[in-house]
Amino acid sequence: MNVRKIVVVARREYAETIKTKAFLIGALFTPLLIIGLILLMARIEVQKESKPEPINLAVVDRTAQVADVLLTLVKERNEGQSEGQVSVEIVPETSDTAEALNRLKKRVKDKALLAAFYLPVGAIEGEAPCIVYRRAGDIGSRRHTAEWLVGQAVRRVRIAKAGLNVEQVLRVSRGLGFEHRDVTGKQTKVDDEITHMMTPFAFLFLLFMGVFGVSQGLLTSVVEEKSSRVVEVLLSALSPLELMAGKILGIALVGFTLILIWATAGYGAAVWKGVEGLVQIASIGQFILYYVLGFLLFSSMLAAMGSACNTLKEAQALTAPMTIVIIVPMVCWFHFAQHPDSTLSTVLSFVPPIAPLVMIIRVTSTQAAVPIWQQIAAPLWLAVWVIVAIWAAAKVFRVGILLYGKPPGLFELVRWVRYR
Amino acid sequence: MTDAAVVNIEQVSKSFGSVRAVRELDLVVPAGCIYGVLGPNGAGKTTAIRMMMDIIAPDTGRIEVFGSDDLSVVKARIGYLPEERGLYRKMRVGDTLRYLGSIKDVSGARLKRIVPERLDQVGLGNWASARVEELSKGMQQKLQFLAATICDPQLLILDEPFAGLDPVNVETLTAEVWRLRDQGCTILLSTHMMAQAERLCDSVMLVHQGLKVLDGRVADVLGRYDPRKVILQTKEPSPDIDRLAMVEAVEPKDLCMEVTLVEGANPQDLLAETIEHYTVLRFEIKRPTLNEVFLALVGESI
Repeated sequence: MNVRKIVVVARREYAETIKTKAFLIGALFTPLLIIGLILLMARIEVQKESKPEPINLAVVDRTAQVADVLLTLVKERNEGQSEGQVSVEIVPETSDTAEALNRLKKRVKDKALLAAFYLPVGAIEGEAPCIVYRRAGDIGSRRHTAEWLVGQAVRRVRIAKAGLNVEQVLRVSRGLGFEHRDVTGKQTKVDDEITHMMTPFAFLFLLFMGVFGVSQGLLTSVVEEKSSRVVEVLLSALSPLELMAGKILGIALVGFTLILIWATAGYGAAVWKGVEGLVQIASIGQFILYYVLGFLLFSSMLAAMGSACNTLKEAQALTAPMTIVIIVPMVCWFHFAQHPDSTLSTVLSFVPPIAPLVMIIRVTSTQAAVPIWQQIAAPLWLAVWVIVAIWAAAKVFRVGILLYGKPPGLFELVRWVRYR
Repeated sequence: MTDAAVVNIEQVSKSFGSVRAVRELDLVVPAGCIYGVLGPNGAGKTTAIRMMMDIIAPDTGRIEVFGSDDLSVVKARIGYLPEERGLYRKMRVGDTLRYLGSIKDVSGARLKRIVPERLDQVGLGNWASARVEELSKGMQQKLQFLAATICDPQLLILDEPFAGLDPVNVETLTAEVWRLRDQGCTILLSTHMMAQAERLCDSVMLVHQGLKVLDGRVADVLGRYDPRKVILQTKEPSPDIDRLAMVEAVEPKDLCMEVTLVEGANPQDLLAETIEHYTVLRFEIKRPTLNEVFLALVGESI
């Protein structure tokens, strides 16, 4: 093996690939997707932590008993709160209720009101529901607060009507507070979960695009060299192994470049939106480890399969089974992130083609930590497969790259491994 | 091994599945000659060349090039123009030569100097920054030849170099091959175009179905076969000579006739016999062509 020649091949592969349209699309559009994802995460974070907004409500009280209690309740709630003040407008009883409601609905639509509540006769007895007029798709904590207030007012009226002491009943029916901690004793917030689920997904997405997306470029490049017949000229100067190694190295560097662009865009957006704390430095180390192992495994398999085909269409047909397998972690990522210590997660961490993707979800998940032995054994086991894959790929590549005609099946490729 | 041999192949065989592409091949290519490997399509020429280039490994036998059996170390001294020619379509002309030169261990500084020179020599000087796909087919063939010789090879292997060339380019390539030979480069070419080979080669090897049929210097090979054909023209039309025992067949050709003699017959006897009865205007002993030799040996033409 002549390292200088490998570097020459890698340099050409890199220089020619970054000039292609596919690279430009990957370099520009994927960051937009990543930034979009981060903005979504930031939005969820911001909604949780930002200053509460004022809540404006209107209530049509046909029971004629709830309005006063509600006003008192709102007054109690507003005391001691400088922000997120609740204001309730009690709409007086008129002869034309429908007309009054129409006016209210229009104000809700114009966002002058968060919601309008219509308490029909019988609401206190539980015979009819309270109707809430709100904007479609408008969900969030403000509406929950509003509904809680109206509901609580009705409950107080019921307690009083039952002849009980409101203060006492409220005291005994107070809720129990819960504080969440993980197994290390660290305090966690339940409502952080959605945001934190996004972190493993972001890593999975980067790894998937970096490994599978980029190594498709290698497949194209191998098939192109073969179909344009340039490969024989190359093989008169290089050994098949040098050619394959150079191509893999060149495309791997293309992948690193893309990931660097994506990660910079992603981290920039995260810092801008103040959610960069979601990414741990250790996760980045793990990512690089699984990128290198995953890329070597995939690209050597794809190089071998590409060498056996004459057209991209044949190559895609031959690689289809692998594509289907690789989709599994993409479809099941939620399970791996939510249950990183499940039997399924553990087993799939040792199944070569998908192991890098499963492991990156597990180790970046904020759920229970992956056992240390698995964090060591999984990459080692994967490394063994990487070596086997490169060895077999070199054998297949040597046979396939000069064979023209009908493309072989997967079993035929396995037979080539045994050729001299 | 012969001292001056550039290529020395001993008992090399190669099979692909049940197909025996090359069988117990022996070949010695002396330094400084033009050596032709001749045979019909599928004879095993390309397989033999690929083994010499270390592109595929032989099943059995031994191959030495420049006295070394580790072919990877001598690759940089060998120029190769494969039968299946191709270039990177999107790559620029100058970049293509620089890339193919650098994988042949030509230094960057030298490539910087010689690439424009070589392109100028073949009239592609203004095309250095054009993409390969913008070149005409003839230009691409020139570029391929430049790529094969960019490393100033001591051995140049040309696999079917005349395939697809027009007569002008055949002449240009022939002249280039002679020029390189005069500079001391050994040239090994495979072809199924016998006339070209006869004109160009000092020595040839004929292969058929993976087996060597014969080899040697062109003059020796042709000399080994009796001239049995004579071109004859007499003043009198239709001389009655096919009655002679020494004549096997007579075929009229324009104003003359082509006379095939029986095996072992002496053309001089035919001349004496003809002069006795007719006025001879033309008498020419026709030398056999390589194609006829091949035909005589394997019973089929190339």
